[in-house]
Amino acid sequence: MDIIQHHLETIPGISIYPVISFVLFFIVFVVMIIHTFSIDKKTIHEMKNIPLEEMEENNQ
Amino acid sequence: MDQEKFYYDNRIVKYFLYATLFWGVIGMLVGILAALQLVWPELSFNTAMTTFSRIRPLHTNAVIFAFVGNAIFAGTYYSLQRLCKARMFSDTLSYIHFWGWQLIIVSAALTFLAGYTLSKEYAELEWPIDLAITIIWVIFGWNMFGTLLKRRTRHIYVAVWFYIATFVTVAVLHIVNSIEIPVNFLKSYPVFAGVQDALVQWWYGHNAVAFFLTTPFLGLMYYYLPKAANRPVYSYRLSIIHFWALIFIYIWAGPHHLLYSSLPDWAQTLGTVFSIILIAPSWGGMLNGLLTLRGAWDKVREDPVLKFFVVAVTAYGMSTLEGPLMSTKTVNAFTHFTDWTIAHVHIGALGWNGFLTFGMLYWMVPRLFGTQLFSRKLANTHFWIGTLGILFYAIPLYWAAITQTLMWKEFTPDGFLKYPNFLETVTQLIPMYAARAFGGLLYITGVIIGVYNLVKTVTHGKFIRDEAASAAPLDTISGRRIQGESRHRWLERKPVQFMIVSLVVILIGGLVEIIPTWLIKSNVPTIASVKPYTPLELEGRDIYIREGCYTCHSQMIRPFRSETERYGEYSKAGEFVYDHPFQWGSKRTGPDLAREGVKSGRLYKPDSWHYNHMDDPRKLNEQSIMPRYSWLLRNRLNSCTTARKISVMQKLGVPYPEGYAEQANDDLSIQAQQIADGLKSAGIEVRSDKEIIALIAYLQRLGTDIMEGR
Ligand code: HEC
Repeated sequence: MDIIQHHLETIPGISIYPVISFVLFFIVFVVMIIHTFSIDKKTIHEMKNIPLEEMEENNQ
Repeated sequence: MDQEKFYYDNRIVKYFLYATLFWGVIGMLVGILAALQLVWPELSFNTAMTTFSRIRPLHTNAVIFAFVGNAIFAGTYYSLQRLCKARMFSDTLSYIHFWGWQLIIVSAALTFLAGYTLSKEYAELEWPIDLAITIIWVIFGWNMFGTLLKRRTRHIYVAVWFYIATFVTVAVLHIVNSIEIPVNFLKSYPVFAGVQDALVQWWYGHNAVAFFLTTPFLGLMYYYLPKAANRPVYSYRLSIIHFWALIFIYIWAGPHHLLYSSLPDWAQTLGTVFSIILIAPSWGGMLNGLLTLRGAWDKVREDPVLKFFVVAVTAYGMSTLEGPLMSTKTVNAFTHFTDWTIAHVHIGALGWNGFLTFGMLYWMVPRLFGTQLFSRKLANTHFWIGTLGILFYAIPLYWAAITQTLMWKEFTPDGFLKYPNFLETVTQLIPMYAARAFGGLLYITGVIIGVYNLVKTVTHGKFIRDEAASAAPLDTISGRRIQGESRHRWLERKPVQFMIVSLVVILIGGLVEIIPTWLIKSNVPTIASVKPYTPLELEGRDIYIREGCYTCHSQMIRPFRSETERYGEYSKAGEFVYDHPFQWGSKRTGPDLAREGVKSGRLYKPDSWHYNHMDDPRKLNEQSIMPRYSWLLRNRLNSCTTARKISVMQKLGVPYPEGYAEQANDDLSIQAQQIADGLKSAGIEVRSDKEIIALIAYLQRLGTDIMEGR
């Protein structure tokens, strides 16, 4: 069993994977939040009404 | 700006919608049969085609890809056209997609019943059908992007983002998990083996849940819920965050299916951590859905459509909380391999997918047929029976899971297993299994009422095949970012670029998860005494796969005292390096078989026992619920492809000596003769060329390699 453990631990840089994952996740998340809150109210209003508008026009 | 007149194609929606209902009823009926077979094993009818282990994959695939799949397409084709203010890009592609998908479903059903399977859960289909799926999927994507490119709205509404992510991710998952080398027209071996194969499979399996059962349905939720409530989604900002966070995080969580297995620890930890984080976007989505209805609860009381949606979204919230909890090692140690998993997926399937689908159908059908729903009262009845059905289904199974896991783990004060006989822990559950089957019966009763109601609605209305609409065409603006436009805004109007960004996002997670495992390949602790299977064992293994034994038996002993006491030494990564495909299983309806062949082991049985047991398990254990496999005693082993199988294995890196393929059949006969002679001295007359001989050879090989090394 020790042999197994040893081999896994010696894959080059194995411990870095979870760290990379976290950093990546964090960056993506922060960028998303910042972007989302920078959209102005009017645009948001327009966008969220897209499915409903179509009804007024077409469903007589 | 002049308005352009155009027509929505409702016929393709109608086709997919009928297919949804048709396959839904079939898939659920097959599920009820499977549930009853666990109570009365005689219902497997001692016939290969109707045996539980072939019926179960048929049920899961029918429900996922036929019922839910067609519902996704019905919902997408309807909403995409309206959100784009355009007819589908090409009617021809639409109908190729429709008929292609139905053909795939039919060939899947036939091949499963005939025993052609890769045994990788929810990816059991053999290679020609995998190929067909790829082609049809690309046609679906092509049609979708064609429509998006000719749309008459600038912004692409968030529902469509979910459709796009679904399209790219399913494509990637399907292709990676289906890399296999054919032996002949309906038999192939996956290129990955053992730990790697398990990791790729559950990366796929988990994300099939994510990107086939979740993202498309979230897209549908973001369209149909606001439509039915006639008010916009609660927070569009939240939906944007929900989208990116969800697709980014989901892809990492796959290894939570393999906790305590022989998968490297870091990968298991990654799976757990990301599963927990996943609660945030999932609940963000759920709240966004439910809060859309704030101030409209009086409507919910009135409208069956909204009722279905509320329960669907609540079920989504429940399963996405339960899932992450089950991904922690503490909980997983108790729930894994038990009926907890089955209960969990059915909260998702019956509640989230099923109820969202029916809500959507009740909303859509009257509109497609220019009429009112035939009976609101019947829809309400469907709703209540269905809800009861879900409860009757899930609660007994949770109960069964707790009962069984505690029995598995209980020790006497002297330190022995309190229930050393596995079967005792199964017999306890039979009443719960019966109650579960009743729950399923309730649910399908609701569905049949629903079908009746919808059929009545259809006959009372007049189908609007091409629905007229008009909108102003988009004036062409620069493909580049215009002044003051943020990157994301630009992206939101560029579908192809949007797809590429989504692809990159999911690939990051996929690669971080999978690349290290490739590195492991050269590093997977090779245990010197682990040798390739003999030709006869390999054939036996293929019978084990064909019959679907993995639907009830695991081959993965976790490092707990309760398991090592029961089954023997826990499983090591290096033991599986020649397992194309791996057979760890995910559910223990029968005992783990990883050390079945170890002579000094607790489970060891002589060849003659296996012979009789496979003929009729109830001859040896009166209360066993394992099906009979007596045709294995009669069928002749087909060894025509043995040589070819050996060469394919060699291509995959299994170290048979050079030129061994030519010798394989001779070795096979010799080993088979030995087993037949052994059986003879135990009083069983059997010819050495029967399938049972190969299966026994395989069972007796299981788990023995590392013992040899001692
Ligand atoms: C419906 C679930 C189910 C399926 C499918 C199933 N089994 Fe079983 N199996 C059981 C149960 C339950 C037991 C324990 C009771 C018994 O020994 O019959 C068992 C026991 C066994 C045992 C004895 C284990 C021991 O040493 O105690 C073997 C070997 C076995 N099964 C092999 C197979 C093979 C091979 C297949 C596929 C051809 C298969 N089983 C399919 C449920 C199943």
